[in-house]
Amino acid sequence: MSSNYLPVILQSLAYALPALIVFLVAVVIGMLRAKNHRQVSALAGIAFLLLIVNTLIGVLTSNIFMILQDQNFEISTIAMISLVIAILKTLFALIAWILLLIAIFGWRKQQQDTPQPVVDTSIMEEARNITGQLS
Amino acid sequence: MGTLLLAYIPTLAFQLPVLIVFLVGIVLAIVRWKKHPKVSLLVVVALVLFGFTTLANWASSPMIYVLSDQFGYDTETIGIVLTATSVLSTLINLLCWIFIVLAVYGWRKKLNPSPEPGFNGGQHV
Repeated sequence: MSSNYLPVILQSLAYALPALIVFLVAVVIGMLRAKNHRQVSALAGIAFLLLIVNTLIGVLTSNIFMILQDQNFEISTIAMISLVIAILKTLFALIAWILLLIAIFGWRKQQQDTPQPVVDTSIMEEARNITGQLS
Repeated sequence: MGTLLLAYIPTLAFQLPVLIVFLVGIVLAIVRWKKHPKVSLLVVVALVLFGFTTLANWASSPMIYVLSDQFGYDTETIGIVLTATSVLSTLINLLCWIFIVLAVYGWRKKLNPSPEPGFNGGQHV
């Protein structure tokens, strides 16, 4: 790859970098919380990894037209490659968003403003056992 | 401007599936608002802003021609306008991603609390 393309790629990377950092932080948070929320962390981890890959594809192909034209590719070939990249990016984004929505709303207990009193059912079970033994 | 946007509509096809998922997400958040108000609020704000920036980015390509042809802006001014909109879009997207990460991991109760030492399912060990 010629160094002529580097400024465009670096500019794309600069715009993508904040989001990439957030995705990486999200993956790390998921790994740290994997013990408490295994399914959520797994889904979110896969989604954020897909988003990282998607963003990197976007950065690396930001000047795909220029590169392919310089390599004397035909316009129809350039159009086909661009189409495949666009379809792949849409597919990755779609899967990532579906996983994220499942992770956001799945495996979540209802948020309560007033905490419910904690009932220790083990005492009741023991009482039931004792009454059972007596009868 | 109108005809130019019409010519660009087919390129929106690639954004459409994700925009539909955004809509589904907004509906899901509104439906679950009573159960998880904070999470739903974050999701709705993030998805509305994501939808807005997606459409704005899509419209930015024909906008270049509109700015140069109809308003007579020079290349330098168009460059400044595009850089400003890109920076603004990046900042908005960053905020939205932070909201989404908070919505994924925030306000969750521990699902499988570890049992008290000395107890096993309510029975003394």
